[in-house]
Amino acid sequence: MEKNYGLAGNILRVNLTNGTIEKEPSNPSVFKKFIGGRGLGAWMLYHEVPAKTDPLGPDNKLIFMAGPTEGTITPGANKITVTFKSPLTNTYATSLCGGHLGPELKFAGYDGVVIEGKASEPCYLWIDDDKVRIMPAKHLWGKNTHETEDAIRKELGDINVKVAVIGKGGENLVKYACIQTDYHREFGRQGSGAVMGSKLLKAIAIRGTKSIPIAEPEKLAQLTLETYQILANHPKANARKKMGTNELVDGINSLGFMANKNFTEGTSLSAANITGAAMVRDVVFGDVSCYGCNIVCGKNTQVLSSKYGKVRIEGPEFETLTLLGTNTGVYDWEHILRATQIFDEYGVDTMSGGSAVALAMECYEKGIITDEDTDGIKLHFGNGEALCQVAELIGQRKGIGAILADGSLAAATKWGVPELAMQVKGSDFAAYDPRGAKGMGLTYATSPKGAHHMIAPTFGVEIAQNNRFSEEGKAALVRETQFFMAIVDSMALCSSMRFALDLGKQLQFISAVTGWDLNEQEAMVIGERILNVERMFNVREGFSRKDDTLPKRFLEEPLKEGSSQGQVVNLEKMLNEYYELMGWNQEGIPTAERLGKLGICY
Amino acid sequence: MHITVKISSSILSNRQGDCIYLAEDSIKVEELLQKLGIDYREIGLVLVDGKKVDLSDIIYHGNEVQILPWFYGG
Repeated sequence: MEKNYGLAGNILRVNLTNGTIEKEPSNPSVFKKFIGGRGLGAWMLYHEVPAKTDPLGPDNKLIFMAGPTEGTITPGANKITVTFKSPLTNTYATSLCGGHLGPELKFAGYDGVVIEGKASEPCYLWIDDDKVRIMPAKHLWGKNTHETEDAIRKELGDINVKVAVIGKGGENLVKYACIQTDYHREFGRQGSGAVMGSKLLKAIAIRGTKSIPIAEPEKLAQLTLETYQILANHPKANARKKMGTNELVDGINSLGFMANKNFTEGTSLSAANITGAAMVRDVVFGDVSCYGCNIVCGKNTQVLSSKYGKVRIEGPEFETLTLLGTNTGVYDWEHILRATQIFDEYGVDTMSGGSAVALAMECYEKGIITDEDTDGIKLHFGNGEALCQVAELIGQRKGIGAILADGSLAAATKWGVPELAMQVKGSDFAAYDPRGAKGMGLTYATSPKGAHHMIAPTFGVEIAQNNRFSEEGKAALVRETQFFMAIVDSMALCSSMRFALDLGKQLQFISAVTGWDLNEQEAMVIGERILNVERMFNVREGFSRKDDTLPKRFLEEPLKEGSSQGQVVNLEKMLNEYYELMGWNQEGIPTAERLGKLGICY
Repeated sequence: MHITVKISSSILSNRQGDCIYLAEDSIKVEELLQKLGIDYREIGLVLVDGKKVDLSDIIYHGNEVQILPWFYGG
């Protein structure tokens, strides 16, 4: 019998309604069609979660999926995905998490875990190699994320157990609650934590001791050594090693397209307080790495003396720093670190959390909401104490936090100003203002999970080519980047590995691990297949061109100052070109002919 | 003559932030980077008075130079 190199061999299916646990053999032919991770998760969600499923009902699923290189020595192969229908957007959603959870799942003998149904009382899943049990968790319900991780390790008597948990944010069904692992690594976006909370599943604990079969171990070792050497001497990798993703702050701010004050501004002089260099100088005291990585971009940070006492966390990385910081007009470490800590402990996405607070601040400053709505909290831009107070309220779903817990679009709609929510399909923006890199406008508009930068982060190419203000050629750039990123995510690679691994090199790793012989053209077809499956899930839910849009602010309000002054996004032309290149009709719906060519039945 | 140079703080040189570079004469971009101790591999884009330039282009008195890294989203 042919050995399935790179695969752990089984997918675990757990039904919390009736308590059944089944192991299904991993099907290599399906893996070859979607690689794994994000791609396979999308395919399974499309087939297993019917249209109009309630995202917080028992029929929604959480599909955790690793990639074929995950858990091997392939550098940065540590990203596990969770795929689900989002309670925030009602679209397809996938979220990636680094750390050690994905490799541990493979070591336990599983390529994925599918969580179905809803438990009758709080529980957690304990995967101990072949022994899989559903454990009671009434005693854990109500604990924050960090307490839960500690309690489960203590209960199981093994500090090496890897644990994915929800906090009170997930229990309270905050629509952008996240799932956390390794204390500070998150499946961050679109509300996977709320889905887990709706199933009364507090945690998944994993311990694995098996090995993963490799097709060509010597070739893999050689490729890995070469990649480590490239990364060790790569200036960009060195910047990220020193400052984490916050090496981006200074450049994006100086180019005038960084989220400031709910995107009313694209730059701020005060951002100089919180650049990557300032972070290293002021608050960093250590480094943290995910499995199999020599970039080591995670930073331990602390403020030793503050009104909150000693605040010690990992991070914040760039998106958290900017969306909790610059986007709320808060430019000091004390409040940014404390707000990050609060959201982490409640298990709530810092990006959507920060965006929700920024929206409330703009509404407060404009008199749309008043002290009566905020219970007296002075929600001015720049009020760091108010940021921290509202972060707590969101996690607790109390006061104004109960409104913001449903997402910025729901809150802005309730307040009669939906146009002030900086979102696409209900999901909040990353920190790159699309007026300063037009391709990002198309990326956000067409992303299958709402405004998400990593679906196609084109701004680096746009800056390097000095054409960031032009819409010309951006449809092709976005399309190609979307396909490329779908492959990276499906391999389970960290996106920072792009410094050293172009597509050709990535395929060499896949070949060494699995024995699959894929050329670049075939790989890009897989990327296209994944994007189309994701799109078809949303089409089935009723999404179309009308939803592929941007907030009025980006389309009609030019940035007032800075290096991107005067810019707006002309979306329609890019959208027309993009649909044509994708082989979709002008309503953004994939044609039967295109789907047929990609081997997708629907 | 002087040239104002703005270096992104993510570029790991020993010169970060804004600086005024004093030169006796006009200077090539490549030479300026060398004098500032910046490895050209760190550079994604050099702008002179807001316009993209190549390493072989020449910078003159009063120019404002912006040195930016490669950007990868994260």
